[in-house]
Amino acid sequence: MLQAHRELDAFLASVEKRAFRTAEIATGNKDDALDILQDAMFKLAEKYHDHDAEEWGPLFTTILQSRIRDWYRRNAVRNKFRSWFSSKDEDQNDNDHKDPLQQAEDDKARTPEQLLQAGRRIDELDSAIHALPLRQQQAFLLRIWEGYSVEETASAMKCSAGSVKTHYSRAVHALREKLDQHW
Amino acid sequence: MTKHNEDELNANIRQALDESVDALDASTLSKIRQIRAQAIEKAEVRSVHWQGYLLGGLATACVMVLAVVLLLNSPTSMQSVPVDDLELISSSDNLELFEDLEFYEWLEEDGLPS
Repeated sequence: MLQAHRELDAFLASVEKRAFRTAEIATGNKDDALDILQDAMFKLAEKYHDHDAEEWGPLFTTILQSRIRDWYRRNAVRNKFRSWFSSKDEDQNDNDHKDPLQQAEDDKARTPEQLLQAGRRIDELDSAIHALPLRQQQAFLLRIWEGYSVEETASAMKCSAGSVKTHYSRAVHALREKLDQHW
Repeated sequence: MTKHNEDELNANIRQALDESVDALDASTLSKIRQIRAQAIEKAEVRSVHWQGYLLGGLATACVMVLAVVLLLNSPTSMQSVPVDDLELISSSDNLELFEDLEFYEWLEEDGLPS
């Protein structure tokens, strides 16, 4: 049993940073990304810790993507209520709040020059991917970053392989338009 | 967009994403590690609960088997009651008759006093 938990720990250690970044790009918010990561890890640990280790990867990806979709749904409802009850000024503040570039924190204590060089590229990419519709984000990141096949991506996104191809293609074209020539 | 351009764009994006993971700050990494430790703790608690349920079930089953065995081998069990005694218990006659049975048998042998 102890060995199984060590294996689970090693598995989570191998996926945690990417999972966090995937959630952070999707939400544009570090705290929400940590919450999503926590939900996904807890669910895997509680419900699937006794499954075969080979199953953990697809299961974790599916749980994580599901949690991100839930966050989008909740956020959409929350934004609707805000738009009904808040003034124009508050709406402006909300829009500022949602912009990841405005919210980008620097807790690495880097110099402005270093920030400009190292951070701008990542911030630019985060912003471009974050601006994509969720399904395009998911299809793109799973295919490009996680190296999933079309079928594996479809399984994680709970949609058809044809939809994955469409979302992925649109995402690539949108990113090409958004990102400048350095990419 | 040509396939070459698309592959180049994807490779650049993949590299930037990998760099962003490597560039995560210490505070975020610490929080992520805490979450992982809590998740493993939850898995362990689940396992302990599961083992507890299993042991509890086994213990209950053992107690029940033991109880049945003891009941069947008990001297007060219905199977161990002699047939004569069973007749006595099930009889609707007065118990006093059976208590003084020997006296009545003696009386019958010696004849009733006239």
